Amino acid sequence: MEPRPANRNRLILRLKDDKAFKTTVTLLLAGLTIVTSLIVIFNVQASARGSAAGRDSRIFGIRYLTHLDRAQWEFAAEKDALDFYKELSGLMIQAQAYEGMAGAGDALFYKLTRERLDKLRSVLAAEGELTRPPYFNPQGGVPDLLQYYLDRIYIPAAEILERQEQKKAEGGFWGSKSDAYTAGLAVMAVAVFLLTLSLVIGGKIRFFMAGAGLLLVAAVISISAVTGTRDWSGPADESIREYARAAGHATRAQIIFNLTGDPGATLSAAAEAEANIDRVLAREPRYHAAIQIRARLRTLKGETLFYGGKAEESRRELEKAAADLDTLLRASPTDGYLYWSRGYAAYLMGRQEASERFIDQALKLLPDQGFALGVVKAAALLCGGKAAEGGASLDEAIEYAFRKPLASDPIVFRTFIHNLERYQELGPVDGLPAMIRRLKEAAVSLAVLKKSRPLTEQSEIAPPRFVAPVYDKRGEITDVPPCDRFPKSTARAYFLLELKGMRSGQSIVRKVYRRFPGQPFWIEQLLLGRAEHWEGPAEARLLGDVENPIPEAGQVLTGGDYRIEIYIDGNLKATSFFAIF
Amino acid sequence: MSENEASDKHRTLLSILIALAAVTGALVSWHALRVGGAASGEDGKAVTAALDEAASESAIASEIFGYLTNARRFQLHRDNAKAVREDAMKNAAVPDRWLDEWQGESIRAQARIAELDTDFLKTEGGRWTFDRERYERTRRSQIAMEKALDPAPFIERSAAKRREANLLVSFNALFAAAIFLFTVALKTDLRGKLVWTAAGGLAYLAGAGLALWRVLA
Repeated sequence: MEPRPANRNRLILRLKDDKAFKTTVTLLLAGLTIVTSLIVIFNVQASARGSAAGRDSRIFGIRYLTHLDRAQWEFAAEKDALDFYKELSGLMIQAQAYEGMAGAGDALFYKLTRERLDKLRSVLAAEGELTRPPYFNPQGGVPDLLQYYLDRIYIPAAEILERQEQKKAEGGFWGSKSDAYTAGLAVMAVAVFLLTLSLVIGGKIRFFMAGAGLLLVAAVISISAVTGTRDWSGPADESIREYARAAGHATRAQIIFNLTGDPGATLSAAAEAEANIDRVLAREPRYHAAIQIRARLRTLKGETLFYGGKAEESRRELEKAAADLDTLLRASPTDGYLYWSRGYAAYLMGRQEASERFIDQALKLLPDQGFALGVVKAAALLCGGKAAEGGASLDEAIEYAFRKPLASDPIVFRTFIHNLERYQELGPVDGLPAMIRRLKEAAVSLAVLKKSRPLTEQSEIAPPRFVAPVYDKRGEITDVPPCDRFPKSTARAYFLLELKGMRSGQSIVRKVYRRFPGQPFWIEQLLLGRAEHWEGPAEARLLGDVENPIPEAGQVLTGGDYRIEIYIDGNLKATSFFAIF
Repeated sequence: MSENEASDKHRTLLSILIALAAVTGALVSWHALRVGGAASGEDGKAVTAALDEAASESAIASEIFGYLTNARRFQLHRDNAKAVREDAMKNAAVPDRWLDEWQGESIRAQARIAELDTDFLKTEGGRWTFDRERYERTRRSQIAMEKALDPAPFIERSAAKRREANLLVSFNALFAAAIFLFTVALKTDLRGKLVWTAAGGLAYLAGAGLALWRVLA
């Protein structure tokens, strides 16, 4: 009598029996019909949700543009009311002046006119947005256009755009789920083929076919199950609204820093933004757009503290920014802007080699940012002790700016120049003054000469000498004693400029910078600058002036230290200083 | 009838039922696909409506900007002209100046009102203002007579159609179950066959009935 086989062996023996094998595979195939139909159901659902999210994303994109267009028109209407308000204010000042000079009858006319205009102005002020608080302070007389722009244009736009981004991400999520199911179905088709093949062929190979088919089925079921458990979870509505407010405050902080470099105002605006973003991240700790804003704010704070001379505090902020950026880079390893920010943070922390690596990565991903990234790389190389490579990188960046004028945004030039000047003040670096000079001359050459380098020329210019002219009774200047400190009410600061070896048609550019006491940067004052072509004799002695044409400033030069630079054919030839106290 | 003959007939019946379930499932899927396609069409219409809405909003905003500034300036010049006249009545001195001022302001007010759609001026406390809300409503209604400006109804219709398509596709699970049960019946002995066949038949009838109900609804 044969021994009774174990259960496992019994099953194998049964399968070896052709009929039993075929029955099993046939039932398996029939069972796969159910599994496949379930995968199809999940696929159709995921695909439908992906399509709906994609549609919503497109609609948000359209609404974003609609909002911008509408908000610009609203702004134009408000600006018109503000201009009218200013017009009336000007007429009132005029009427008041005439009132003082006129005879009795005319004086009454001007007095009543002034009073009437005042009433009209009050009516207008109540109607406009830019003519009353919070965007207008009647005492100061200067509207807060930036805050209006942020409240009415930027923040709502940021909210719509973020919703669009979220819908886009949701569409991508469902799309990827649908793709996973589709791939599963394709593999399932192969499995069905292998199982069917095992039914029609004989021998041991049929077991191999059936086994391979079964393995594929198991893989598809596992992957589909894992895919099915993943669900979309975007940020809540309130978080998106708060995120947009934080983005607005962060932009305000960045603009304040770029325009003034004022550490107090920048840090205060940044703190407001940080409070918003902390609230968002308390609710949604993995909200990447919010982490990105926090990284931006921390970098800005670090930068502000760095240029404010507070290296230790700056490092603490920059370390936190770097941690945020690393988190973001893990999730989005192809986002060039993240590498850029990471490289800049490393540069400010003095980690020049790391900075160089991140900037190189950013350059690969953002080839259109060749100028800005090239300059950061040049500075990192120079500060890391690689002067020659730094110089070459700067030349390359400037050549890029020459080839692609859009990349040579003057704001970027100005920002780099004042940042590097401050860097040099805080801790001198060999070769940095030459790099700053190269940047300055390139900025002028690109703007005026349409060349990447200054022209060769032979002029000789003494540094401008600031003077306080003395006039006689006829109004003619009798003396020009030196004076480089002027009182606050000064409308014009005069200087003497002596030039030799000038040629007709040469470009002569004057740049004026101002630094408020206690502020880190020399900020270029565009309205005080001049660009002309020389039409005078080869040798000349000129009396020039620096005057403020901004009406809001009451036509006087605001207090602070001033620096004036003279460029001939793009070459920085002379620098001088004066102060308004 | 012998047991073998009965079995053969049953097998034939089961084969027909399997084919029927597969064909019905395919037909239901095809219908679901059509419904899904219609949902995509509604999505397209929603995007078009959003674009039309954007274009109309842009046009309306630019018109409002013009009317609002003209109305504001019209009212202020008018107020000023009125006040000049009152001042002139009270103060006889320098009559020419008062007259010039009054005329100047009146002309400026007239120039502004010429640029206005006066249908939308309203008075509040004796002052003329531009009725912005009414203007917006009117213009939107005018444009909406020619084209849809609100994507919301299309989005709702699209969502309804997608729900319908998903439901129809989900009935395929019943047809698949029927095919499985019929196949099991095909491979079992005669007594078990009837039970499996009945179960498969129930699954098929449920699927077909539900699908028919949705198609006819």
